[in-house]
Amino acid sequence: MGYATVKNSLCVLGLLALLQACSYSVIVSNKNGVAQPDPFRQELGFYNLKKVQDVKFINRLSLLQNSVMVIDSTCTEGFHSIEYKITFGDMLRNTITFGKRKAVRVRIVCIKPSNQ
Amino acid sequence: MAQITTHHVTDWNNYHFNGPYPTKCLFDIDTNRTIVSLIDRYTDSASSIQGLISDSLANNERFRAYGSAWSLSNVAHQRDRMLFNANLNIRLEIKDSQLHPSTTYQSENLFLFQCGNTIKEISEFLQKKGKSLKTCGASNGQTIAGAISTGVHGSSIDVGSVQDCVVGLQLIIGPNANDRVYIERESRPALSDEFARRIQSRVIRSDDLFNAALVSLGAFGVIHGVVLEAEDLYLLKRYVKKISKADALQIAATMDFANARFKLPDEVLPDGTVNRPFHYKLYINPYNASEDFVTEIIYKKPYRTGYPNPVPFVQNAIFKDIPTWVSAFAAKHKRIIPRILDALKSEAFPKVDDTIEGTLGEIFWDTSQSSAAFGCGFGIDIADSPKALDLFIDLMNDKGPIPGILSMRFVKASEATLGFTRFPTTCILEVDGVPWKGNQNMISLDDFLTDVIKTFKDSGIAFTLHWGKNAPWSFPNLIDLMYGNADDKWKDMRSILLSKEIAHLFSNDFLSTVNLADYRVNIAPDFVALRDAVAASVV
Ligand SMILES: Cc1cc2nc3c(=O)[nH]c(=O)nc-3n(C[C@H](O)[C@H](O)[C@H](O)COP(=O)(O)OP(=O)(O)OC[C@H]3O[C@@H](n4cnc5c(N)ncnc54)[C@H](O)[C@@H]3O)c2cc1C
Repeated sequence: MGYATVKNSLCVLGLLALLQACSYSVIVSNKNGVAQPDPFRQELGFYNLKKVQDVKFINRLSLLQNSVMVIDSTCTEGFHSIEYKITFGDMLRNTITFGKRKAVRVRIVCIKPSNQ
Repeated sequence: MAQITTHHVTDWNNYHFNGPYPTKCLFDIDTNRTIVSLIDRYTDSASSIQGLISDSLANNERFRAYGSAWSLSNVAHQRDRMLFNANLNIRLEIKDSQLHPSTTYQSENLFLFQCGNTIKEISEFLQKKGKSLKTCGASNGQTIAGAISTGVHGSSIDVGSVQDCVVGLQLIIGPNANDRVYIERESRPALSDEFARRIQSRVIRSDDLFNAALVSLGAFGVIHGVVLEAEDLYLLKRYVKKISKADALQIAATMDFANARFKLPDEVLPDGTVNRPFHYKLYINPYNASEDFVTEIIYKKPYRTGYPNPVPFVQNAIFKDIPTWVSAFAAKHKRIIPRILDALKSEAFPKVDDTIEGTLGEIFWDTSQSSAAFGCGFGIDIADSPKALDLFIDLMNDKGPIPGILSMRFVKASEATLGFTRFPTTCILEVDGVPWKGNQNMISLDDFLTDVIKTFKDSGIAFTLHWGKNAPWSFPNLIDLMYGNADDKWKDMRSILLSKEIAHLFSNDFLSTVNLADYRVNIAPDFVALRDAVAASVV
């Protein structure tokens, strides 16, 4: 591999790492309630064996609107957790459209329904 | 009928990725929520489970229920058919009229929980009634059926393990009407025959059978319902202190807090009497065992409102795959393990001098650990615990280092025939960490734990192993070594309750490995009368 190729690869890697660092997510979790289980969802971390619903869309706001509301009808007994995720691209889109095009990436886990 | 989704699969894994294990079929069952009466909904679930058992028998396939898949051993795995039962979470209060005429239990403290209720769900439900579980493990995600089946424990020194709060069990042991049984102790009956009829079960009152079925390893049929004794809601006050090794082990070996060198000034009364804690746990860094032990001491207090929320507001829950990375690195450069563990100590040990108060459900709250992990728990008589600890630490340093930290918990003896908390007070000496692959440079977990067993055996230290954790389960004569004749009694009881065909249906690889799967046509003469009585009972 030539010196230039290595240099380019390193630059791309560096850029990717930078972009990755610009994305982040916050999970708001309920102190009470148990997550709805999903015996097939096996992954390292918070969502292991939990049933998740991913909500992803890009919303166009009118001049009078300044935020997005997501109405969820899947959780019958409330939210166990909600993760809001923002990526570098989302931030860029928000900035260049002066906040009028918002990407929404939300991951919801419902509370396991009780038998009442 | 209950809703059942059938998934044809090729493998199955547990919560901490100790598998995968080959499996053919997984049933996901939920109650029929259109049935208004909870007790009818409950019996409807039982009928549906019997349908699955019937179909498994017809297809000559074995069958096993499991809960949260939190067991790190393969005790929950079945090669043929597995029933995921976490959605079966009906709870019923027991009324005065449903008590057995000669019971000593109070109806307000008794509750019937369907198998899939998790410890957290139970704690939250009980709290609304002003009640609490008597004990639980360090976290709250196990289902009640799963927890009792392996003998889940915390460190409640005078209470026991989760199964020790159970007063009745409803088991499904086959496809027919007579195959629903309600079992309780003859010496401590709880519920009336009429209640058993209401849940369409025949009644068996026998201490021997009940104690065997308590820690059943999934082998006594499907546990459909568990009757638990709760108590009035209380608070726990948790202190975390650093105690010198000598002082911590003085308590460990005796559980004598009254005459211990270490005392918590806040828990000494004006007349000099020392409060006895509810819970005592030691955290030990095996690679620096001369440092003081981080010690968690918890006292039971009357419930009051208005205490600060003990559950932290912020947890660093955005996971990166650190443990896997650590283990891969550690397997290559094992000398660095002690340094890695030292660096991760603040994650693994509670913060020293933190004092918090909360209910049992709040203090032993959700786990944030959800990655590949191993865990092994040795049960030892407390008198042997200092010696066992020294031997364990020596092995970790001589044969290792391995990426794990140690802890010690202390639990009152269980009445369960195969409860691993079988010493008057059992010290559970645990090693928890991140799994690694053994190589020429580093001993494997199985080989390491085999060395521990051999060392304990050679040193005359009697021990048991947590059924739901990692261990070299194929160690020769392991069960006899741990339980003497108790496993014979357990097998007799299982053979009294189940037919040969059904015993085979509920067996699995784990049971075969530990030699607990065999069926006894000839049971001990002492139990013949019990066998006849069980065979004669009807709904
Ligand atoms: C994060 C974590 C923390 C832990 N902390 C502790 C602790 O503090 N103390 C402790 O003692 N252990 C602890 N363990 C071990 C774990 O609690 C036990 O292995 C427990 O048995 C798991 O419960 P479960 O509901 O996941 O059952 P599973 O692992 O799903 O099953 C366990 C056994 O129960 C049987 N079973 C389940 N449901 C039924 C049913 N309805 N009928 C018949 N059999 C059934 C299964 O067949 C299997 O044999 C921990 C494990 C993890 C992953």
